[in-house]
Amino acid sequence: MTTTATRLGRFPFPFRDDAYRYSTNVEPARSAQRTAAGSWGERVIEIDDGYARELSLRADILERDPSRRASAPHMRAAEWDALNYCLTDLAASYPEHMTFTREGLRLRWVNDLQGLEVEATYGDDGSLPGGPLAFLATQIQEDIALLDQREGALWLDAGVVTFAADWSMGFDTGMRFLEIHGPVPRIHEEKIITRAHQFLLRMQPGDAYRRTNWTMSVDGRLDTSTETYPEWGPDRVDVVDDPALPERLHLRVEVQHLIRLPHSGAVMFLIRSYLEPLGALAEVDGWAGRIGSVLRELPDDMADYKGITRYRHRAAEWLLSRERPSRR
Amino acid sequence: MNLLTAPAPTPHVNAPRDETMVALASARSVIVVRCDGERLPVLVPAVPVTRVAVRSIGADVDLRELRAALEDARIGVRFAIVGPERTVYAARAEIRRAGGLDSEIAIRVTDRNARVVLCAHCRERTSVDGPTGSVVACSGCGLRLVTNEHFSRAHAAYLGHKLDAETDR
Amino acid sequence: MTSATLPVLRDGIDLLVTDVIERAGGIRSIGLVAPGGEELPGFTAGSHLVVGCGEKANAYSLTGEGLFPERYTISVLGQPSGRGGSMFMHRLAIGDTVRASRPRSAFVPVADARLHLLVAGGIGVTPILSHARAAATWGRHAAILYAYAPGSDAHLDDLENIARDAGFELVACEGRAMLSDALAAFLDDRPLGSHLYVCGPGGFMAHVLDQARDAGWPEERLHSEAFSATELDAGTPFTARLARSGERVTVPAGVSLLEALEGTGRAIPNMCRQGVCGECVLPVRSGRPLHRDSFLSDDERASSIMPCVSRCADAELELDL
Repeated sequence: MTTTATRLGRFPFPFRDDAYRYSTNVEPARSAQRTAAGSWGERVIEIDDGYARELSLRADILERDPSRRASAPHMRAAEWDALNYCLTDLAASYPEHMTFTREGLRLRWVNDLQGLEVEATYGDDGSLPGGPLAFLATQIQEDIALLDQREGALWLDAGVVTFAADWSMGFDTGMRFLEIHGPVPRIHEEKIITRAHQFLLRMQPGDAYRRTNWTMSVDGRLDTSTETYPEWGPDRVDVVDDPALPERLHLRVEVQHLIRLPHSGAVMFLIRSYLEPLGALAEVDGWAGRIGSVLRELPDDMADYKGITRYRHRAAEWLLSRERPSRR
Repeated sequence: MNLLTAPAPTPHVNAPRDETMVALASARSVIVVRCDGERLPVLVPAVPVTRVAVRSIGADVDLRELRAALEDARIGVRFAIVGPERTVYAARAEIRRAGGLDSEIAIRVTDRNARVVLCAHCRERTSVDGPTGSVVACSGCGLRLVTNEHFSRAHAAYLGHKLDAETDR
Repeated sequence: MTSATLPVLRDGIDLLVTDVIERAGGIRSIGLVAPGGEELPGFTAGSHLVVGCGEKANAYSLTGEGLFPERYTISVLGQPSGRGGSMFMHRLAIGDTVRASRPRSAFVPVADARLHLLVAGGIGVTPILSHARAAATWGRHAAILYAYAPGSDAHLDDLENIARDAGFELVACEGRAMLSDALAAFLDDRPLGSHLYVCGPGGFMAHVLDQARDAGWPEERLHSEAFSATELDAGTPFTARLARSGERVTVPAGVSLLEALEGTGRAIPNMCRQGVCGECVLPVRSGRPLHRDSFLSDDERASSIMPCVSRCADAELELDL
């Protein structure tokens, strides 16, 4: 569906400056963001050439480890709400491949990319294989987290997260938003997380916002959850001295959409991960220098938290050498 | 709950900390939960009081008496839990699962030495003696686990992951 | 000034009156649809619409369950001695159009409650009806107490139908005399995990909440409908003086300072437009800001303002722009 050139064109480049710090960087969803390589952001849910591969990977992960999926009984209304919202959005964004129609409570979904035609009854869990949340997770590349608002907090009570970047969905299920972000350095002293929290608590039904987050991943591996740390952890060491570092080391950008679902009132996080190798990113005007500067300047505690300490200076050297060799 | 009014900002709670005994004055009944034989006295108002004992056995917890009391619990009940951290937090998780709210639960932790760590890789619970950073062999998969600061109130356990996962193959 | 300047109405929808039912006690139910027959936005139980009533704007609870609504239904108590909003609503005829906000949510069911105790007083029955319908739809446990003045039992039949079909307890309490006893029985012996929701006149809600507290209900289990003043208040107009150019910019009611400055062609950095991200902060030289953000510290508030949400207490605000 998309070539490498278009992948870069739609890459959500996260750095506005040569240095990076945490901020409450929420902005309205569905606004196009121009980058040096193209633009992204006019859609909430994105389908690209990784669609079949990533969904297959998700299915494998869930087969091996069902703890990546959570679904509390009181979240039934939220799960149907999420399904309705996302399938409506998909059909509007990709009408050439997808159709979503409703007659009363009867839903009909057609997905040509999967050769799929499904009918279900809203609110009847048995009418959809696995229930609405599990089904939704087979249709979109995004990870899904549903948070219930009560007791002045947001509780992670349902979701499917197979591509966690260094955290554990199974462990964090049932936690509050502020507790989930407990381990992140700096954001508490600087009130960033409490502002984000207040923002989320105040969202009105139908509101849709987004923000970006970034880290790095070796070999473009999507599942870098705490569960599988023994599998991907050693790659962080291997890549440092590997001449293929520019091909192996990927910048990983998460576009998070934050949506207040209209009927259940739950807050839905859609987390979409985009990974591109540094070598490809360096082809775009200005990106090598910017990424390199960010990696070089990043404070140690932030680098440690992002897990990039071992290779970030090596990566920065390579990137900065690609920028403008004659001006160094 | 009024979505349009900004709630008072709550302080960040990650690792558990000592919570002052909430006054039980508004209680219509009290359930006192004594963990691991803790003898600390608990002041209760002049209302019906039920006393239950909860005990940790290794990384598991015997919650039977508490569960029985929870079946009869009615609005107006308040809970007072005293004892070592790991058992107190397991009791709290059980009360919350039964519908209890934080404002109905008063806690006094008398000992923070023993912890329970949940293995990220095999999901088994293991007892560990010591603070964040302590290492213990997982009772499930045998891996040496390092204890994280990250705590789950629902699991009543700290997250543990493989020690030196990056360098130990 | 008309209600049209209210931001929630400006960003709202036109609705067509499709049916009107006069009920007991001076209560009138109004059915509203989208003029072109489009789908209406779904809503969370307990939601309300802000409706433009000529110069005023009032909030009215939606009585429906909220899932794929074909129409919105509200019930309005006629108050001849009020500010005029309800009488405007009582004069509407089928075929008239009104301007309304999108559904606003401020009175949500607690999803994991073991039991929802729904208490309605008079016209407060409207959001309670929505809650009862939602509980029935999603298989939740609920019990309802409806207190009303003699002869003013609007929607009692609706509640009876719901209660019968869903197996909910329903207590109807006519007149004030029996309320305390009925309430005491209603509050008694409820399982851990129950939550209570009350809507009605201020005095009624205060009575119910006080009695519940005395019975040992903690605050977190008590929920009452409160229409926020801010959504009904477009703010007072003021002038922003831009110190460096001397230019004066009018900031009308219902328009944010940020929007007014952008209206002059200036590009002010901004992101969330909700007062949390800190992008649009501007330095203040004089005038007292009315701070509505959640970004600035107390110190910062002395000399800065977030123009996306904050206004001015004085007639003129001077910015270092």
